[in-house]
Amino acid sequence: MLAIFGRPETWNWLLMFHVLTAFVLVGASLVVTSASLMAARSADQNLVTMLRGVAFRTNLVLVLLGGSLAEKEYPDESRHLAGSMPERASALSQASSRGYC
Amino acid sequence: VGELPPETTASEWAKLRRRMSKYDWLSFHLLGAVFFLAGAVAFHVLQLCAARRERPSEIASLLGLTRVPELAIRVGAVLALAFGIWLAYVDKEVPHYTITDEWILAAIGLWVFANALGERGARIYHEARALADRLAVDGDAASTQLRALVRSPRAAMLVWASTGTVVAILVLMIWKPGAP
Repeated sequence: MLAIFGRPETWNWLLMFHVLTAFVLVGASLVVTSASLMAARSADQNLVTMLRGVAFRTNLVLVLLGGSLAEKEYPDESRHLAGSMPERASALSQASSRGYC
Repeated sequence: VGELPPETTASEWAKLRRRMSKYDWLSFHLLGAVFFLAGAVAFHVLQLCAARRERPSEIASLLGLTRVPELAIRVGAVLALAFGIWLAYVDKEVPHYTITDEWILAAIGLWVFANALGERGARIYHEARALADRLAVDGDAASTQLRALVRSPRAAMLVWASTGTVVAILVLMIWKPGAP
């Protein structure tokens, strides 16, 4: 919630990247799950192979990539991007005075 | 157990409103955004996979799977809009934001535009799905008409433009231009 309400302006790009990769992760997981379920129910061997291929490639490219990027919310290195400690402290105090946190 | 008198229901509603913080309303708004954009990602992945296939049964299966992301997009669009407007309406709980802020009005306008584009693009894919279903039970032979529908540049342009517009809404929600 701090990331949403009480963040410095310089964190916007990080939040945008984090949110977009999270959407990719959830969307790709949906594809993997639905394709795998359909493959498990299908009797046509060609269709099963195709659906398993779709699930595998989506998992490999999007789920793993999206997952590994989305979990990097605010690593320690973000302080270099987010400005100095006084700037962050000032942003937090502003957010606190507005009742955000 | 009979129906509650109206005054009791109103009081329950008031109690619920008092118990719900801005974070609770925001979490529903964010859940809607997740459904909306994650559904769009899933739709694009399946649509791109279908465009690379020739057999109608394969195309029918992949486009059939798009029903789940389409439902997620519809539910997410409604949740994000409804709880977003509610968040702006309860301005005493979320100070400084009102429904008449330019960035909120722009986001609502873009929401309408994105849904109109997505709806028109999806209509072409629905047509492709219906044709693929028919061809799959009728010999499962490749068809130029089906290929043209699945690889339609117009449909692709409409759905990608719709997703691009939703990303623009996300940019507005994060940067909040003009907000105090």
